[in-house]
Amino acid sequence: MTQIIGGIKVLALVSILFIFFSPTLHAKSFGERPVYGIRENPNQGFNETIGQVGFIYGLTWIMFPLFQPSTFLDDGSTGRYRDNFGRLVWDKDEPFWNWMVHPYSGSQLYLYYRANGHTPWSAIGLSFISQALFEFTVEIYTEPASYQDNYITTVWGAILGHALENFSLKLLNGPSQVSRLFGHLLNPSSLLWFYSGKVHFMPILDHRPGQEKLAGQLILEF
Amino acid sequence: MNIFIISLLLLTNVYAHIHDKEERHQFALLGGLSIGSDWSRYSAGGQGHYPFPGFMTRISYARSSKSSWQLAMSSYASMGHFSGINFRTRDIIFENTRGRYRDLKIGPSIQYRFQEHELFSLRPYLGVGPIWGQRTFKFSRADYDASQIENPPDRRNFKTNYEMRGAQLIFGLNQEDIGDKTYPLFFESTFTWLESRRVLTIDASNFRKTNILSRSRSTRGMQNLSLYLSVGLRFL
Repeated sequence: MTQIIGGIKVLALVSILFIFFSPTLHAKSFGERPVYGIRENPNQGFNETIGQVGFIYGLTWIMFPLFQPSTFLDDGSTGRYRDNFGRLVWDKDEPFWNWMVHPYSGSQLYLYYRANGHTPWSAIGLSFISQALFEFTVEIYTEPASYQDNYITTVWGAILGHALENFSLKLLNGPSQVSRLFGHLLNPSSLLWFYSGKVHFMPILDHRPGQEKLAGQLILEF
Repeated sequence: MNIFIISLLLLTNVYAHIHDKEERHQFALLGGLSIGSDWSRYSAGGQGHYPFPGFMTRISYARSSKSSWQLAMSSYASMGHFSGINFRTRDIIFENTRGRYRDLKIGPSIQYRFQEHELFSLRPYLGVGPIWGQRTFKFSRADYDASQIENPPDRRNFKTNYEMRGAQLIFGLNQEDIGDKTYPLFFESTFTWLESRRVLTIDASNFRKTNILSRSRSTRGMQNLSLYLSVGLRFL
């Protein structure tokens, strides 16, 4: 019985992989007039890239305590930060963290750099740098960096990110708003300007006497 | 501290290398599904032979698409059920165990690609390298002497974890690039041989936090031979 269930799981995984990586689906997603597509810019400036890495690094300092408040407050300390600095171990975390959360985080890093116009290999390199900065300088507030996290976040994350990118592009170029919504949910970085200019931010400044205002208008087009 | 500095230097170099030389150098990202068989022997008694499902991934680098040699970093993940194994951690022996295990192995390898040979229109390659891994057994039942553990958790919430090291031997066949919108296939068989170095007992009652109850050296506490048969795609 266990073997049958195992076989069903493998079959389901193969089916999912087929849908995600199917070249036919990928080709169809770019119809006669594709709306969403990646605009690669391999000649990005050093400052732009540093800005993107810096943005993600800053975000990890905010996201880490927000998503794991009890771990951060109960287990974290500056003394532990000092002790963990430079250490590299095999962590013993549950598969939920190591086999699901880390690949998903890696995939979103990959998609973020792709959405900013980086080539796939540049996106993988930058994902590696971003996750290593998190592992070696942020997460050590509570636990040492781990061997498998460095590999899994980057490599498993890149494969998952590549699949999500293909699948989300198909959904984003689909006929219905529902499919576009799911496309954006799978690949939130598709909302960034590099994809299609579907996000607009417009500052509003009114100087008329008695009606002075400073505001902003954010338009997300699905 | 040293590891941190070395890592940062490596990261900087890797990125600069990828960014500047992407056109000339050949990187590859592969992933696939595996089935396999696993033979393990435990010093505390018992041995296991289990078929398993799993998956493997690899990132590799060659100086050019014509190079015969390439460097790779691979991972092999597998999972399954176990029963009837005895485990010896620092002072505790778990007997009549049953539960689930998961296994992760990661290691670098150097691979030789037979560029001039073809087997069923596929190019063979051979690789060898060290490998490190850990195997975690989560018990659904186990007999043990609870008095030896300070604040023992519920008996179903124990894990035993082995840290291992060993070697891997790879033989594979891969398809040439056949166009932009298809992913080349590869077939591979990998043998891994590992011996445990450390064994840990872990309280698994809180999945958010890792509470290590004991750790000790375990040279040859577990010896493991695995065969992975994988089929997969080269994604990039």
